[in-house]
Amino acid sequence: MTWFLFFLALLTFAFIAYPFYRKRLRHAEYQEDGQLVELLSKRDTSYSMLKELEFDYKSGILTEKDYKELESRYKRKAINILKDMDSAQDGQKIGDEIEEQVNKLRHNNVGKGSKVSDEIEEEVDRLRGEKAVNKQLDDQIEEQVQELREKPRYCRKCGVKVREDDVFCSRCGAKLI
Amino acid sequence: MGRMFKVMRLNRLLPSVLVLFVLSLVPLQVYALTVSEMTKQFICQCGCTAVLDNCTHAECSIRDEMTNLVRQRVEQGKTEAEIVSFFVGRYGEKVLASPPKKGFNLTVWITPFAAILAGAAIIYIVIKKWVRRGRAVEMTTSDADSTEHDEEYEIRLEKELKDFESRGFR
Amino acid sequence: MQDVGYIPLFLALVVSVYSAFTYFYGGEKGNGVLLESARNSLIASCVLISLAAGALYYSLITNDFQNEYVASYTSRDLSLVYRLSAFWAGNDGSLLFWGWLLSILAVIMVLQKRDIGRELVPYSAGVVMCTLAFFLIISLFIANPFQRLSFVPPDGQGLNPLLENEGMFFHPPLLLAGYVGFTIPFAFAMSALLTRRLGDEWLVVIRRWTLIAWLLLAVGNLFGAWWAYVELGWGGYWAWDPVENASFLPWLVGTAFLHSIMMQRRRGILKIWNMVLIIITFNLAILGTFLVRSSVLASVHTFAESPALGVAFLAFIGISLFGSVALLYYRSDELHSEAEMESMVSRESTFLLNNLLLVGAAFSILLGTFFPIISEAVRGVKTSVGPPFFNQVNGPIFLAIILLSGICTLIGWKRASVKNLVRNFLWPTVAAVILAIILVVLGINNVAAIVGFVVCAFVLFTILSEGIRGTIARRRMRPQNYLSAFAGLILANRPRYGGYMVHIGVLLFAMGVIGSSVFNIEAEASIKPGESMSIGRYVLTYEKMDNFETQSKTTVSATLSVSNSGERLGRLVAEKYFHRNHQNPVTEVAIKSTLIEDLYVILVGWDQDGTTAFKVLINPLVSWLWIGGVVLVVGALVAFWPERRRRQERTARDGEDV
Repeated sequence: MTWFLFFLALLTFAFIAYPFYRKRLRHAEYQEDGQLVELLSKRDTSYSMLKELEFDYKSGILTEKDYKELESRYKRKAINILKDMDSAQDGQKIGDEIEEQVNKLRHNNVGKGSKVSDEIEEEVDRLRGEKAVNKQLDDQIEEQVQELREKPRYCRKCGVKVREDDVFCSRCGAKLI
Repeated sequence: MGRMFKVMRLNRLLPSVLVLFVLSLVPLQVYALTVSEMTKQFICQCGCTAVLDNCTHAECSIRDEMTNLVRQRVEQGKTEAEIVSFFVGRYGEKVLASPPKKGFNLTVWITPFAAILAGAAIIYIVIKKWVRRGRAVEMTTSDADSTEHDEEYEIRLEKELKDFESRGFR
Repeated sequence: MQDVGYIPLFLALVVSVYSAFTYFYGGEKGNGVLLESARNSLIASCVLISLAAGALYYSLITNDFQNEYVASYTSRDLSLVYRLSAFWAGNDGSLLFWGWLLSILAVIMVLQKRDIGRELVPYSAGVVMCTLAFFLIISLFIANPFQRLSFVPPDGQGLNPLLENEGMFFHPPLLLAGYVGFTIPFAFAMSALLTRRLGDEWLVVIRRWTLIAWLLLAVGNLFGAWWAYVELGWGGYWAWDPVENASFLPWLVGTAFLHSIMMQRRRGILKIWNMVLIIITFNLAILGTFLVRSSVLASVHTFAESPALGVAFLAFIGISLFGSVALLYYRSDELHSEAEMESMVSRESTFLLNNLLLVGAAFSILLGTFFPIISEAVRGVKTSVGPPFFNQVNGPIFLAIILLSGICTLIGWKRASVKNLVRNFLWPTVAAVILAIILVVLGINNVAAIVGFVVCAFVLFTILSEGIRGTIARRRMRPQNYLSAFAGLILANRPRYGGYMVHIGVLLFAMGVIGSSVFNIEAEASIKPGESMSIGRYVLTYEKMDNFETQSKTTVSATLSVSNSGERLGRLVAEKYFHRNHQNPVTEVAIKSTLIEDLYVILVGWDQDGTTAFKVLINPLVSWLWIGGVVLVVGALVAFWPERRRRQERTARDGEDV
C-alpha cells in the first residue's frame, strides 16, 4: 500500500514537471492580438444585432420606419468596426512580415558559422527596432490626437459644443471641420 | 404626442405594480374560522421548523398538543386575534409563522418594497440619461448618412452579413 | 482503505495550490511552459480526487463500517443503489462531492476547444483552483469522510428512511452541481477583471456555463419539490425553509445575470452590474452550501453541526466577496458603459425592470431568511419568518416579473412605437380579458387567483403570438410549410426561442403554484373499514388494512377505493413504514393525479378497533408544476445546445488551450 502511494506521488510529480523537460516547446499561443479579437467579437455582435433587427422587422415587432433608421445606424457602426479591424490588421501584418523574415534568416543559418548568425541577429534587431520606432511614432500621433480630443470642439457656425467624433453639428447641421 | 404616450405608459405601469404590492399586504378576508386556517399561522414548536399544519414528523406530540389547543379555541368561538394572542403568550413571538406587521418587524415587510422602489427610481433616472445621450447621437448620424459613403465597406458588409450564419447571440 | 482516500486527497491539495500559483504566475509572465505545468497539475488534482472518491465508493459498497462515514449513513440491509447515494447523504461526503465535481468541471474548462477567450483561461483556472483548494482543506481537516473508528461496528446506522426515495439520486447531486457550476462563470469574470479583457469575450465564454449551472439548480430544486410532495407527506412542495431559500437565491440572481448579460452583449451597458451579479451569485451558491452544512438557521435539512465548518465557510465567503469587490472597484473606470438609448420604452427598459425585480425578490428572501437572527440581535426576541411572509411579499413581485416578461417579448429592442404596441398587444390582451370573463363566470371569486391566471395567460399568448409571427415571417422569406417554418425558426435562433420555451415552462409552473395554493381543500376523517368519506366530488371507501414484514421494515397499508362523481376510479394504497433502525415512521402517501387536480391521501393513524384516521387533500393543477418543469428543461437545453462550430476565420486560433 505504501509503495502504491509513493508511486502515485512520484507519478503526479513527473506529470507536473514534464513540461519543463520537454525539448520541443509548443508555440506560445498566448500572444494573440487582443485588440483584433475584441474587434472581431464586436463585429460579430453588430452582425447578430443587424440580423435580429431584420428578423424583428419581418415578424412585425419593429415598424418599417424604425427598422430603416436603426438598420442604417447599426450598419454605420459595423462599418466603423470593419475599418478599425483593417487598420489593426495592417499593423499586425507588418509585425508578421518582420517575424517571417527573421524566421527565414534563422532557417538559412542552419549549419553556418556563428559569425553569420550574429550578423543575422543584428539584422533582426534592426528590423525589430524599426518596428519599435514605428510604434513610437504611432504613440506620438495617438498622444497628439488625444490632446486634440481633450480640447472641446465647437461648431463654427452656431458655436454649440460638439462631440469630438461628430461629423455634423448636432444643432445646426453644419459640417464640422 | 407619440413620446408622451410612451412616457405615460411607463408611468401607468409603475402604479399598477405598486397597487399589486399594496394588495398583498392587506390580509385576506376571514370567513368562518377553521382549524386548518389557524394552524397555517403557527410554527410547530417540536423543532421541525415547519408550519404546524405541515409538521413532517409522523408522530409528533407537540404538534398534536398545539393543534388541540387551536381546535378547542375555535370550537369555543374565539376570534382569530384571541387565538393568536393566546399562542404568543404561551410560546413567544416565534410561534407566529410570519412576524406581526408592527414595530421593528415592519422593517422586514417594508424593506424589500422600499428597495425595489428605490431601484426603480434609479433605473428611471439612468434610462432618461441614456435616452438623452442617444438622441444626440441620433441627430448627427441621420444627417451624416446622406453624404459620406464608404461604398467599398458597404459592399463588404452586405456580403459578410449574407454569409454570417451565426444562430443568434452566442 | 483510509490511506487510499486520504493521501490522494492530501496530494490533490498540494497540487491544486501549486496549480493556482503557477496559473497566476505563468499567466502574468505569459510563460507557456509554466502554464502547461499548471494545466497538468489541474488534471492531476482531478485524477487524485477521483481516486479518493473511488475509495469512498469502495468503502460504501464493501460495507467498510470501520469508516465512520460509512457506518453513520449505511447499513447491511441497504440496497446497492442507496448505498452509493449515501455518498452525499451526509456532510463529509457531500463536501467531497463538491470538490470532486469542481475538479471535473475545471478539467472540462481547460480542455474545451475555444475560438474565443483563451487568454482568460489561466486566470480563471487559477481562481477555480483556489476554490478547489478551499474545499479540499475542508475535506481534509474539518469534514473528513475517511475518519476511522477504533472498532468495527457489526452494522451501520443506516440511511435516514426519508432519503430512501428516487429523489435521493437526483436532488442532492443536481443541486450541488448547480452550486458548483456557478464557480466557472465567476472565475471567468474574475479573470476578465484581472486581465483587463473586459469586452464581450468573457460573456461569450460563460453564457453556456451559466446556463447549465442555472439549469442544474432549477432541476435540483424541482426534484426537491417533487420529493417533498411525494415523500414528506404534508401535501406541499415548497416550505420556504431556509435551505430551500438558500438554493433559490443563487437561482434568482443567476436568472437576472443571464438576462442582463444579453443587454451587455447587445448594447454595451450594465458592465459593472453584471460583474456585481455574478459575484453575488457565486457567493450565494457558497452560502447555500454553507447553510446546509451549518446550523446557523433552524431547518429540516440541517446536518450535524460543526462550528469549525461554519467559521471556515464564513471566512471563505468573506475573502471571496471582499477580494472580488475590491478588484471590481479598481477596474471600475474601465467598465464605463457606452450607453445610449433611443427610447424610454423599449425591450431594454423592461429588461432593466425585470432585473431589478429578480434581485429584489432575492433580497426579500435573503432578508426573510436571516431576519430571525437580525431580530434576535436587535430586540433579543426570537421570531419566525415562514410561508405567509414569503408568499405575501414575493407573490406580487413574481407576478410583476411574469407580466414584464410578457411585455418584453413583444417590444422590440431599442424602440417601441405606439402603433406597434397596439398592434402587438391587441390579441394577447383580448384573449386574457376573455379568460378573465370565463373565470368569473365559472364562479371563481378569489381576486388574487384571477389576476394571477390572467397575467400568466396574457404572457403565454404574447409568447405564442411571437412564435406565430416568426413562423409567418419565415415562411414569407422562403417557401415551406408551417411546421418546417416553425422548426426552422427555433433552430435559427436557439438562444432566443429556447428562452421563450423556458418562459412557457415558468408560466405553467406559476399556474400550478396559483392553483394548488389558492384552491386546495382538505378533509380529515376517522373511519372504519367499509365506511366512506367524501371530499369535493370524490368519495373514498376504506376497504381494508394490511401488514407486511420485510427485512428492514414493517409496512402498514390502508386500501381505499375511490370514485369521482359516482364513477369508479380504482384503488389507492396509503402506507406507513416502521424502519427497524429509525424511530420515526415514514408516511407513504397515495396520490391520484390528473391534469386538473391531485387527490392526495395520507394515512395518519389507527386505533385498536380498526378506526383509521386519514387526511385527504385535493391539490389542483399540481401536475402542471412537473409539466412546466419539463418544458423549462427542454427550453434551457435548446438554448444551451452548442451551435455548429463556425467557419474558422483564423485557423491558428483553433487548438487546445495551454
